[in-house]
Amino acid sequence: MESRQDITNEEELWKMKPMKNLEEDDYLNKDSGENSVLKRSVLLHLNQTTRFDEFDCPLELQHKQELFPEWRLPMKIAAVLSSLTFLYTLLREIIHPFVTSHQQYFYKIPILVINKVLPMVSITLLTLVYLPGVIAAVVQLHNGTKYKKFPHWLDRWMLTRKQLGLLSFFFAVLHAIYSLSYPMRRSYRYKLLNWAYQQVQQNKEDAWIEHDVWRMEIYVSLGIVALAILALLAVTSLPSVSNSLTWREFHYIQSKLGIVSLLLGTIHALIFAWNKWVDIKQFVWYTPPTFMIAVFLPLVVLMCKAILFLPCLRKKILKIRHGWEDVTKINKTEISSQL
Amino acid sequence: MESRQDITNEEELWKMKPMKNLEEDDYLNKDSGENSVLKRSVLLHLNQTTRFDEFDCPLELQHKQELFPEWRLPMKIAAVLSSLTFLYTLLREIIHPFVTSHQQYFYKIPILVINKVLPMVSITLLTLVYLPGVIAAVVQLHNGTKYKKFPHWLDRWMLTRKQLGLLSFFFAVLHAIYSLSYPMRRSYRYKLLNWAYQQVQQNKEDAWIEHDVWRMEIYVSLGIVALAILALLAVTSLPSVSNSLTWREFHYIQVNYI
Repeated sequence: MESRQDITNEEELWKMKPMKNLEEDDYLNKDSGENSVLKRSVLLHLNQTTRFDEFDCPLELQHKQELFPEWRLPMKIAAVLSSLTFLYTLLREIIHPFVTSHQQYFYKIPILVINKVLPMVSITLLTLVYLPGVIAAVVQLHNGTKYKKFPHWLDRWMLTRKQLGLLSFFFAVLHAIYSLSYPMRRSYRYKLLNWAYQQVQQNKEDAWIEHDVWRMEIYVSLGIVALAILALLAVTSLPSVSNSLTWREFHYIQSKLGIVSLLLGTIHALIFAWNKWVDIKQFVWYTPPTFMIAVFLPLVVLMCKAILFLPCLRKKILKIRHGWEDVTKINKTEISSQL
Repeated sequence: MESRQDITNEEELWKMKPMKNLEEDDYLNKDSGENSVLKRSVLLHLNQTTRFDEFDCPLELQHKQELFPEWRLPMKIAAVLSSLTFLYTLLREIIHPFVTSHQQYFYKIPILVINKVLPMVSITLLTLVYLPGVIAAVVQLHNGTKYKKFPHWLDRWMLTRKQLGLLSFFFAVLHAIYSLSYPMRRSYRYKLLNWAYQQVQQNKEDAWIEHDVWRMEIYVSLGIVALAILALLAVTSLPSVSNSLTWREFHYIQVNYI
């Protein structure tokens, strides 16, 4: 029958191609053979009488195809982080004023609360991109060689770094757009009018607060630059662009510029905080403000990176990565595994 | 040793591929043979015992690989332009008021001064994309033929047009984001409140200035449309997209759309 012929045609056309992950580490290639993905190829030689629409993948093939396997873990992490941050912010900014002084701030939920969730998730995901590198360096230093297998969880974590980074960029762009939409809202217009009215009532000639102006100018500027670098990282993650780069160029952008964007993002958050660290009003029901939690892990990663950059450790790591093995540590592990 | 075997494997795998620049004109193809770049290829058949991590390009190969050679000149041009414009704007907007009337406008540096540098650099780089085409046309008219070689500097300039254009788009997007962030800042909020206060003091009923309104509405709209077209140009510069276009389509977008 014509349809069966078409299905056989399709099976040939929907060829199995090995998954190309050029930015994955090579020791993970044992997975790439198993994770083959069916790619759509151009159905050029099917005659016109067979009408295929875009949903026309036969049911048997559909069950064999995978649905974003490498995105599962990052999406779960992002979902869990988002929910936790949302509930935390809801509790501190909306429920607390409502319970203690019956002030209704529910209008804050669609934009202001969401815009606290987005940067938190974004910077945490970006930290999770660079944290396994730090842990891997420590593991390699400890083993004295690069040829010993990483623990399975670290393996799996390093496989998802690209997806974590792209999710981080996605949330960062959303955070930028939400922030840029602040002055556009009616709530801001009415607040401004009210502040102007109060200023006239108080006969206050100058509303200018110099350090507040500086704070915002600096952190907005840093945030935009950090976003620009993240955009560069995201563009080089596109398959065609990363294929056209040499390994050295790719490594330069993803590793060095990447850690710069994490640094700028952290400074952006710290300058946003400014003097809120010592402001007692920020500690609602004894809970720390969101930026303190957000900034903690990135600072740890940046400090570890700085420590690993010290000459004594840096030279050793580079030696290990170029094939040198610490004979004493290998002998110890061999002996302990034989016993 | 296992490591040496792996290095030989890697050298085979890190094949040299000719650089494909579909948007270059044909007379530039003589360069493409020389500018080969080492591309990463899939290291599929390495067994599990060799653990390569992301840093695992052998040192010898690392030194042979290039680090963005075609971006060097455009980045230098952009850096020089940025510095010059930054110092110029600093002098005019911050140092002059400070020296003449002791007004402190240093808060303007992070956003307002930067947002004068960005559009200047962006439009200059975009001009540098289309200027060599004009010069090349004049040269060809002068020579009366297309088969005579261009001067070396013009050659080199035409090779970097893609990078100049992409840098121009990058700066243009940053300019847009900085401009959109103006009303978000505290400095703007405080200025608005002060203007409102002054207006009440002056009993001025209507602050509306018609031509000022028109000026901003028109130039903001034009700027956004220009950015949209630049975005189109940038998207067609992606290797996968430019590979899927015919030369005529590519030429239409990159040349005629301007």
